[in-house]
Amino acid sequence: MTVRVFIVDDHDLFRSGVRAGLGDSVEVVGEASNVEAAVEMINERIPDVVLLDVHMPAGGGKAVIEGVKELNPGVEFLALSASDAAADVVAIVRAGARGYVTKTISAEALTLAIARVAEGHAVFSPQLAGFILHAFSSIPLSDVDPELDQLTKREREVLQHLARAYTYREIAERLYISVKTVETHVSNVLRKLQLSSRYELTIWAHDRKLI
Amino acid sequence: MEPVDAHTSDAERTLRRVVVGYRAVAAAWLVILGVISVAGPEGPARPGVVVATMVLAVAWALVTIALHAQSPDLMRSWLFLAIDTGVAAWTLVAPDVAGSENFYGGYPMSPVFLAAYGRGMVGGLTTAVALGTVQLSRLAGPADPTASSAAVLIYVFAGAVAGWAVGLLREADRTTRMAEAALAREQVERVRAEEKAEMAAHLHDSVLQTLALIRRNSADESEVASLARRQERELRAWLYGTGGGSTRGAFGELMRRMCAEVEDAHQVAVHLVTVGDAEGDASMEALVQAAREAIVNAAKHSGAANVAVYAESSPERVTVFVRDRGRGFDYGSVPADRQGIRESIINRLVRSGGRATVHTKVGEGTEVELVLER
Repeated sequence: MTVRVFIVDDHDLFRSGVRAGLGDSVEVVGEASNVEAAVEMINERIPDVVLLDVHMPAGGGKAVIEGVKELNPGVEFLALSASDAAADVVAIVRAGARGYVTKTISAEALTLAIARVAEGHAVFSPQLAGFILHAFSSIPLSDVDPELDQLTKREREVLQHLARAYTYREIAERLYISVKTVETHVSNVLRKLQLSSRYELTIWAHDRKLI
Repeated sequence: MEPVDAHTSDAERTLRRVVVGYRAVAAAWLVILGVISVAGPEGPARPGVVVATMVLAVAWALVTIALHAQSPDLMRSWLFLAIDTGVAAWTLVAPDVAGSENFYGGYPMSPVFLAAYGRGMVGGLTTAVALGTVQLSRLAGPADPTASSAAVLIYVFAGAVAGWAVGLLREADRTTRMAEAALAREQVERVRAEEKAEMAAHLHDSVLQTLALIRRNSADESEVASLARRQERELRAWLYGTGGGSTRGAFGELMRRMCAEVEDAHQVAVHLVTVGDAEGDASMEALVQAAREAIVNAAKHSGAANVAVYAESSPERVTVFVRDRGRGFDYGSVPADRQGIRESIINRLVRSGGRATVHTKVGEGTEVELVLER
């Protein structure tokens, strides 16, 4: 079954570039260049996955997620950004995106990432994996919710490999586990990232808003 | 707007100090009058009651002073004000019980002021009416009707005026502080706007220069890629303070600078991810140099366009992985006299107390693992 994809980005060039790169591997059911149009069209066409630009006027990708999730919780979001700044990335993931990749990603890798998100799994860029490791490792051991504020040894290993730019398949081979298990670990990390009330994670979103 | 904490401002503290100061004076006043009454030629029928009232007034004044220092919020509670009024009411009826002259002096005004401070005009008037009622009830006994009626009027008048004055002072204080806060905000905003304008000017200039260079070198593909990378790096550094990584500090900074230099010199894209950070001492320098050699090797020999670098610092050790998806090689077949990897990467690190491992296979890329125990 082909995955139905919707593209939201305020750069026309980038939208057409992504569309061309994806080719026939997915069905692009629409595009939007601003938050309002995106929310309306996504709620009308209900795609499987929305490719979402983090930076847009009028609230950015976060506003789109908020406008859709309530009516259509089944729609998954994969965030794309050129900035790679931890603050933006974490904000969008905590808003509900299933994953984050940089705009320099190859078409092939993007197709794979879309498929993964459509199945309900998480997708992290090396940069995001690095940030999550950093945020969780700076947690003092007292005063944590062990369910949400700590990563298991396996989750750390998987994240470290993601930060070293290994693919899921390569990670599975190296750690002697199945690709499914790798996906489960990453999804669990995503859940922790979204639900943890860690000060470090929330503060990052406000920290660097100088610009 | 930032919240203005009414309980801790200077004006609030000064008001409280005046009210509590009056309490101390009033208690002293009561003690003096009490001593005079007990020691006078026509002493009271029950001097013990006078002495007990003096002790009570002093003790309660000490409680008030302690609250003023420890938990001033409590002084504003209705419970405290009720007890406070009760103590004053006792000083009013004590002379009748003791069979003495009035010796409360100015004490009954003290709870009126305190209530006006704590609860504004409503508080001041409530206490004044309560004490006034007690004062009037004494008329059934030996009290002088004119003096008592005058006292009631004074209580009510003082309660109203004190409440009104406290309100005015607070309002004036609030206005001043809001104006100050607004001024401070405006200043911060102006500085920020200036910084932004400066930054924008710098960025625009540097992007224009890069575009001009790209146009002039448009035939040279690798030069164009290198210019674009350099500009991207500069933009990131300006916009986000770092190369987009999650840390900044000595070791991370060394790694970032090194990766940028290799990118420029060797026409390869280096993707650096850092986790944690460490001090940049001599052994860290050695680690960074070893990493540089590994990246340069990848750039020169692997044929890959990208090199992924991952640096993790923990309190126990610093680890760097340098990885390419290039052609790889048969590590065992590298002759011992070929010094490239052994000397510049492995031995360099071993001399600093670290170790290096090369994982590679023909056709499967190369990963160099560098570890430095701390």
